[in-house]
Order: sequence, then C-alpha cells, then structure tokens
Amino acid sequence: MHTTATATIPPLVELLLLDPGTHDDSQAFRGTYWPRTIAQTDQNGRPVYPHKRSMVSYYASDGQRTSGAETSTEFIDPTTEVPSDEAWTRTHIAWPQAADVDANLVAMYVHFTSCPATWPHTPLSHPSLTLLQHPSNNAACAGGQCSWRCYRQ
Amino acid sequence: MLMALLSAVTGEPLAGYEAMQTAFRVVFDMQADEDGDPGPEGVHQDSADVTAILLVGRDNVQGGVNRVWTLDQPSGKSCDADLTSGRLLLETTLLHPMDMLILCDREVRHEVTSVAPQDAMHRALRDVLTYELRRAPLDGRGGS
Repeated sequence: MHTTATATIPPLVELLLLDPGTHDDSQAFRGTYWPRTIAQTDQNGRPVYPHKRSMVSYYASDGQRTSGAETSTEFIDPTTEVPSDEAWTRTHIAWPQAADVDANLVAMYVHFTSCPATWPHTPLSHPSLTLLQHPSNNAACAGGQCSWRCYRQ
Repeated sequence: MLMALLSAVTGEPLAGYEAMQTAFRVVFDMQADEDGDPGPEGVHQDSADVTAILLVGRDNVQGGVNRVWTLDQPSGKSCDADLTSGRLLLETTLLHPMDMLILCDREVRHEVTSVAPQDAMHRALRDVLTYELRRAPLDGRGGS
C-alpha cells in the first residue's frame, strides 16, 4: 500500500530537530505550552469543543505575528459541520509571546514550510500526503545515519 | 529570526503566505466527564494550502487515528460504510513524538477519530501541534 522514499532535510533543521539535547527537551517543551490550552469559543463566548483545547497564533512568512497578543480569530472552513447557531469564526487564546522565538517551534515551522518545496513527489502514487517519523522512533535509523523517513501514499 | 531561518533553508521564503500555528490538547477523563474526541467536527478541510499535523505527545491513549479522504467524502462524522467506499486514502496513527502528517489541504479532506484511555483509571491526553499554511488574507487577522 505504501511506497517509500528518504527525504533530504536541510542541515539547519537537522541541527535544531535532531540534536539529542533538543529532542530530550521535548517533554519540557510540551509542558511549557500545552497546559495553557483552553476551549475555543463562539461569538457568544460559549466553549465550542470543551474537551478539545487549543491555542492559536498566526505568523507571516517574515516570522512576524499577525494576530493578537491575547486572542486569535479563526475563520472556519465551509466544509466543517457546525451547529446552525454558531458563527463561522472562533476565538482562541493566543500563544505567549515567548513562543515567537522558541527555537523548537521555529525549527518545526521551518521544517514544515521547507518540506513541500524540497521533496520530490515522484514516483509516489499520491502526491497529496506525506507521513514522517522522527528517526529516533525508527529502528532503521539507528547508528547515527539519521534522516527523516518519508512515507507517501 | 524566522525570516532568517527560512531564507537559510529554502533560499526563497514563502512571501505572501501565512501560517496558523495551533496547539491542541484533547482530554479523556471519565471522572471529569471529558469525552476525548479530537475531531468533533468530523471530516473537513482547513481552508489551507498545506496542513501539517505533528504529534507532541500521547499519554495513556488508544485511538486517535488520522484518516485522509478524497474530496467527495461528505463532511461530518464518517461511518463504517465510508471506510470501504474507496474514498479513504490513508488511515494512520501518529504514535511517537515528532511523527508528522502533511496534507495538501485543497486536494483532500481529513479527520481524526476519538481517543480513549488505555487505563480507564487515569485520564488520557493527546497533544498535537498543527500548522496550516495559506495565502495571507489582505485584511489581516483579528484578535486582541
């Protein structure tokens, strides 16, 4: 069902993402931000998905935040089913300002934005999907020859 | 800082694009009556060009399966019959921190299934980081 290919990752992103110290910090990174998440609200201030907590900010391609310091507004895609009395916008709590220069988040953003342009889409059978596994979770990458594994459907 | 990194990596930053960065935490806690559905909206798109879903951590979790569908899959919760309809492109579970699923959002729809605790005596947590990359709106973003 799957075809596989090995992706080439820019060295700077490898440095930030694959450095053992950086990876070991992942739990601290998680504990810094995820406990801050709270339920998004509709136009009347009611929680929309009480058990799916969130935190949202928007960034331009120059890295500058383009949404508020306290909250962010999301415009819901029309393919999302919503109860008839809900607005098509939602309000989320914003990321703290410290997140804008957090090395882990910046590395992930760079990784994400660089992937579509960097990786070839052929001879993969479906170009719309990419599934990555971090090399530390992939036994085939043991021995220091790390690269992300790129699985495409 | 981000601009410098983008330039260093790609050589051509994605001018005119905007990234929506979201932390999601889904909780299943029987004692607190928290239901653990990370995708209450069901099958949907994000109005993005590219969507990335990166697992940050799973604690005491079973489920949370990511499904990717063709565009003719109806919005909302999928049913068992949909799974054999030919519209399901991918079904996978992000199990380890840093596992990431990237979608061309204009070409597919996606959803994630409910999570439940492996040990019912403790709460289940699923933490995800998502990026939605889209052309920036001309009128800026709201928020305060």
